[in-house]
Amino acid sequence: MSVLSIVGMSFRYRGQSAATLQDISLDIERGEIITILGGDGAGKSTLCKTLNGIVPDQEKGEFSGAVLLDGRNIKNLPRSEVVSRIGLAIQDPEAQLFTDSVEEEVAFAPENLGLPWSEIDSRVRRALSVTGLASLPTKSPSALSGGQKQRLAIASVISLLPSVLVLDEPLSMLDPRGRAELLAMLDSLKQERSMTVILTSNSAEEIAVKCDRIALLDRGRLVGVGRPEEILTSPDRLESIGVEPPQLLELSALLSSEKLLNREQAFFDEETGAGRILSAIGGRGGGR
Amino acid sequence: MNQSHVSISGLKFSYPDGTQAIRGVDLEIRHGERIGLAGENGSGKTTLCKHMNGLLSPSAGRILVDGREASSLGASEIAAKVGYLFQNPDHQLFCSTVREEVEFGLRNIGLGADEIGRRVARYLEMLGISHLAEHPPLALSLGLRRLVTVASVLAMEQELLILDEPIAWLDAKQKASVVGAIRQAGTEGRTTVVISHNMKLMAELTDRLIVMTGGSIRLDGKTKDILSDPAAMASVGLVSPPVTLLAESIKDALHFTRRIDTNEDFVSALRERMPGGGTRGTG
Repeated sequence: MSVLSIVGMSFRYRGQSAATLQDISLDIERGEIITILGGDGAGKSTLCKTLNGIVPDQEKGEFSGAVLLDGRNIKNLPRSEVVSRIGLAIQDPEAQLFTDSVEEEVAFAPENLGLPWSEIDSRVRRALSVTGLASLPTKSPSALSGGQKQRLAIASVISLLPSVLVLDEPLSMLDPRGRAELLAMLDSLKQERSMTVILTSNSAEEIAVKCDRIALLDRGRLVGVGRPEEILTSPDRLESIGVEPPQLLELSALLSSEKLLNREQAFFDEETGAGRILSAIGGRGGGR
Repeated sequence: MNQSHVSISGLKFSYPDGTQAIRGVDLEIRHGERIGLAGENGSGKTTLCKHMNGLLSPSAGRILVDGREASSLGASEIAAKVGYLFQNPDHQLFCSTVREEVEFGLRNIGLGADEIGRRVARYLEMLGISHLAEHPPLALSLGLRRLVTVASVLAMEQELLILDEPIAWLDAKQKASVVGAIRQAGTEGRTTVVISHNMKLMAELTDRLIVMTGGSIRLDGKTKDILSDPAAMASVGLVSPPVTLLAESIKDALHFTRRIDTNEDFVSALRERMPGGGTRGTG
């Protein structure tokens, strides 16, 4: 059974004429890392908020369909179960940081779960370590840099050890090391705890090429779901819905328009690209 | 062009909690330069730039803008000289409509109604948000809020523009309009300092790249030279653009000699290795 199922879900914010989400259905498996790609205004953040019930519980509007956690509709589950099993880090880290120190911020959610102190302590240490904040436990969140705030917002959700981790635009402010560490961390949470991870992004660079599946969201509708190699085929298609294509996919399209490579030889990662270029160019006697 | 626009010497800065954010920076920025400022989270990029518009005063050393101490300039003088795009758009939005937001700074520097109208129209159009002029900015998506702040800053047409993460949260179309607008500012001879983690953006928008680590400048050179050197990039915790890494992995087999940090460079390098040199369409 899917850990999370979105079933025929639509949502229109109160006071708005157009629906933000329209008839979304998607099954997400345990231990899967899935990236929701879409442009600004596609509905990514709203979709994230439906997954733990913020929409429509706190942000009101006309909601239909359902979100099922292990087959049970989240609207019938105790709120405490939903928020502890589906952890959400929202888009703007500053909007979710409110304590006086990094350590308190990360401890806040597990404390509210009523966990024993030793367990809280170990979760806080691990979350700070994997997000590269272990040296800053007493620092005030407001004194952190933009990227450090983003790491902290993610750490404070990881400390819940949710079954499903939802990260809305987690890479937007991170430096390359932070992005690499986040990707490695998500992979280890998947391997060790079978954690399911749902991320959003408006760029297909980096995370999208490494995830298990991609869901394309365009103006509130799902317009494609599949493995990266099934979805990342045309830079023009991605751009037309506001998604930045991977640089190497654009390169392969450019090489094909310059007749240096065939269209079927499109690639978006370095290893595949190197192989295809060497065999195409090598076959023509280049490189001597 | 070669006259010093910003001159920084022996700059040190510590926050009240004791964090030493800048540990001795010397830097000359000439008029019209297109500069990228990169470095890991917490390396001091934003703190350094906040000295250029007098938001922060040095703990030691000095910073001159057009030959005058930045911290001694009054608010109106700074506003006329230095445009600053904050990392978080919500730190600089407060008016009730997008139009008022863009007009606000222009009124404060005493421009006439005609000029204000011209600039508002020009920059809203440049950023693709003319249709949102009467909308409340805070009701817009984060990406659109970012576009409003970019329009507000660019409309001031200051000689020095500091843009902190100008494309964070923007989608592909929004990025393209912001990149176009910043490029236009550079073409008009304004000095631009772009802070970003996006090396593809640096390749597109900057000629000189400065990389900070731990509050000091570690690398300062031509953007192309630094981006196309994966080892130098790794030494400061950064990663070259994907196309550079791809080129690096096959450069020996294909005898690439040119520096590659854009897709266009890659295609040119490949053409040079093709039988017959630069001819098109070999099959």
